[in-house]
Amino acid sequence: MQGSPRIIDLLNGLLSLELRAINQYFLHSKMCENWGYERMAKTLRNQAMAEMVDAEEIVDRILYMDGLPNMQRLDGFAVGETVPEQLELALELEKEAVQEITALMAACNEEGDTGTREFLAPKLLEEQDHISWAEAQLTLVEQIGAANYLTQQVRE
Amino acid sequence: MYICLCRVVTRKAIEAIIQSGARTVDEVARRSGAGTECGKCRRNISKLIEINKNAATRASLPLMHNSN
Repeated sequence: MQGSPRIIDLLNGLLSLELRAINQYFLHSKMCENWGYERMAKTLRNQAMAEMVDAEEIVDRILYMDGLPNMQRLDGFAVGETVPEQLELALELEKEAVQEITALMAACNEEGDTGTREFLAPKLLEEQDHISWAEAQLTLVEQIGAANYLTQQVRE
Repeated sequence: MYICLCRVVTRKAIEAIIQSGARTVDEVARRSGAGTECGKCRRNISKLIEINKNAATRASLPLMHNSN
């Protein structure tokens, strides 16, 4: 099905963000594993895998619309030197994702692309869940202190 | 946090260079190596220069606050 070039372009933008998210979560997971925070490493690794599934769904959607998924464009990202820093960066990334998906859904309305808008709706909710998770972790860090929080991240 | 992954340059190091007078991405790149390989961090370096222009906002702003 021939999709709107504008929507395909915006979907590719979202794909770039997802590819960045995969790599950011994966690297942070590996750093946590290296530091000994096995529980956090597992959580972040699962997050990376969930972003891979998201990316795949976007690739499928773009192909369905007769577009070419851009798998080689990845924006630069910052890497946290500590677990709390990694959580802050996760929160920033997820907020960016929500902004981008929201704008994309508005563009779908303008272009009359109801299908893509419906496709995006569960993704929006999922990213809001991710925001909720990151905010909760940062709240814990603030309330019980980083050292206490990190003790909880060493093992299940 | 690491801003330039290719040359392993931290935000702290970049901000120190900005606070000592660097005003452009190229200047920061010359003095730290950051942004001289894949170039993807140059946008973030530019944002750090913006953030550091106003000393009062320096500590509080996250890196990727929405400036769109």
